Amino acid sequence: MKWRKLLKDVGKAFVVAGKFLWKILCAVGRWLKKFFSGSLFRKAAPSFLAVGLGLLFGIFTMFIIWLLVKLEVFDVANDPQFGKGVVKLLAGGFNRGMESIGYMLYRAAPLILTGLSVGFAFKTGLFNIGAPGQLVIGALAALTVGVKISMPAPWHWMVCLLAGMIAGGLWGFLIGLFKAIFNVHEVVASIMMNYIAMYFVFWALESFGLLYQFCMPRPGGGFSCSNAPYSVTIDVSAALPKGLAEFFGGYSVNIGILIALLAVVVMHFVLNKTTLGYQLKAAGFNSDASKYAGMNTKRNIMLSMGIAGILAGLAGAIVIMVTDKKMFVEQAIMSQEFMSLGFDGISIALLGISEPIGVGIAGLFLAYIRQGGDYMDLANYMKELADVITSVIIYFSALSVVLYQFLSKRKQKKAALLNAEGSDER
Amino acid sequence: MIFNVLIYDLMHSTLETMIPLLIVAIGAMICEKSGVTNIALEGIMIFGAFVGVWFIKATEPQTLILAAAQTNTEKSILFLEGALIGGVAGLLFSWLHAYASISLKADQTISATALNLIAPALAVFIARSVFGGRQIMFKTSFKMREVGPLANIPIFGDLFFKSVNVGLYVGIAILLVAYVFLYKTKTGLRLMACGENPHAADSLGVNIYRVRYGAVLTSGFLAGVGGFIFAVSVGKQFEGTVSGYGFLAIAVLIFGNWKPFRILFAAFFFGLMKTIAVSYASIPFLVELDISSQIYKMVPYIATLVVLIATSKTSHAPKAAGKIYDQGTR
Repeated sequence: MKWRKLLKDVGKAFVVAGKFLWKILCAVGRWLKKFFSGSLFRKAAPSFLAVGLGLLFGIFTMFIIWLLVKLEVFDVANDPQFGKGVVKLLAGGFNRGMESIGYMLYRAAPLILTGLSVGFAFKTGLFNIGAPGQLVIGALAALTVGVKISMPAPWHWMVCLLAGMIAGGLWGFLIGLFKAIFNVHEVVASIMMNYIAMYFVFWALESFGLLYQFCMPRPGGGFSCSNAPYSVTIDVSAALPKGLAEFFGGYSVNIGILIALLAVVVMHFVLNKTTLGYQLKAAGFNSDASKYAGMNTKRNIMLSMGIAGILAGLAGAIVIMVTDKKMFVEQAIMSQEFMSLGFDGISIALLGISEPIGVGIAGLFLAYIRQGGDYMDLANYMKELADVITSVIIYFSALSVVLYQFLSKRKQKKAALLNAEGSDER
Repeated sequence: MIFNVLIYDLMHSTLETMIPLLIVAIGAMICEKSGVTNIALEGIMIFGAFVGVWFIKATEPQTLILAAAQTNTEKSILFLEGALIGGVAGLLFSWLHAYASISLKADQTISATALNLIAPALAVFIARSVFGGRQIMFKTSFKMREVGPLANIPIFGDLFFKSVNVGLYVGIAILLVAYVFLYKTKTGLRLMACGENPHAADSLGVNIYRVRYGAVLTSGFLAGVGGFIFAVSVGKQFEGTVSGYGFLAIAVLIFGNWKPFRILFAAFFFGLMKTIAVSYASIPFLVELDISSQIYKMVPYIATLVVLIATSKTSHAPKAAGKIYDQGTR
């Protein structure tokens, strides 16, 4: 009986809390509606809905775990603290003032770039699920140039960035080539190319001598060396400058975020102010029409996959160009750091409705939540919860367009009903 | 003699690798034939494996000695129970994909990608919250040394009835059932019609949405079973990953050109490549070639790409696969 009452109370509390949160969300939404121009808001509204639902789901999960531990269904060493956990999660990148803001920006840079990569492809009617492969190839190219070639500092890292962009671009271009010439669907080709990229990178690390070596003195003299399952780190001259580190106080905060923001501006310009961007977007809206209008669709497919690849490759280069960053030889694509960054790009592009500026905001948001997740263990929650929340957000963003239509239709119906009643009274 | 032992070892580990691939690829085939692409298989496999392994951990004998002393029958029953539980978990998880892509007409690739991301995150999160670490360890080894008197048949006995687990027979059974279902029953033929021309099928009174739901849930069940079989044949712990077998199964499906027995062959080929990648050091003539194991791991994917390029004109891919069905469009 006690159980039931407890559950009932909890349920009631949850409903009240849910309503309250919903009201807050609505208020925020209304405010944003005034802030943005009408049409852009209507396009972005599903993203806000998805984020809200995702966060609610995360908080709900935290609550369930808290409840299960309270009811002693299972035992943990340290009891999770629900209130503190929620605060830590929502405070995100602001948990520790400037330092955590710095780390958030550092994290956001590759996220924004992969988001731009996937979003740009979306705009041109292509689904670039191959961003993981392009990213890891870009990282490999940057690492190779950064270790094997020695150059003075400012040139070295610029050449590394360029190498990453070219390698990623070529990898993306190949996918476009398969699509344009051989009519292979880009999603399937991308999945295959992702795995080929991953094993190619492992092979290259082995055979270019880029793996870290453990060396032990042999009893008879000399050394016996064996490969570690991770790569060497990049030369100091090839690491990105840490101009922002002093300002934010975080150790590894570098100029990556500036590069990412520059890319946002460039992509915004390319998509909205150039003939090329117009052509590529036209192909995305209606490829038959664009073909009829005399545009070279095959060239456009290859070109837009190439550009998407360049952006993903740049992201990979930025990730690896930190003095203590290693590439791990980890066979699982989802837990491979570089690869999973590429998959994050899909979520960011979806949340940012594929608009470069939206992608910038979405990338910052995802970094914010991840950063918050990192501080969750202070409240005895696992930081993987941030991953759960972000993946749930993507699921909701796949649904949210439909959900939002459903909600706004219901609102219209209600309004129509009210109008009808009003006219009856009159 | 040593050569013989080597061949048998290779065959056994190839069979072990190919069975999960075969089962999941058959699920993918049924799903695609109904017109829904399912690239969420990786995530569904992870989820099924997670729940199945958790079940095994909870119900197996709790000491090492007792776990090792289980008879073949006990092992097999535990295995089948785990596979069933994993399959049901996969089925429930794939409901998310079915609901999004069929009922709500969301983009099939996006909802599948979301599932692929949710599953490992959830598995690791729950495992760490409940067990305190990423791994779930269990104690039973499901490999049976000899399967009754059948093991005494000369070559066949050595190949198929020695040091195998029940998964092998489950996989073969699923293949046969799927073949009979698709090509010899009314429902199966209707299912394929939904993937080729849904509007025509709809006009003949087939309920497209129901058929597609059934197909996605079946593929979810099979992916869950496959995930479980993968997890228990790889080792005695599960770490929230199925090492890309879900995506490899899609490659198997394409390489097998959407036909059941070609899929069997493709799964065998891919399994062989995976096995060679792991154990090429013990095969004399491959050692002399001195090719990195990463290259062998790459071969299945390259082969699939080549097949895709070569057969883009003559492919048997379902025509409506991946397209959202809306009764209103025509």
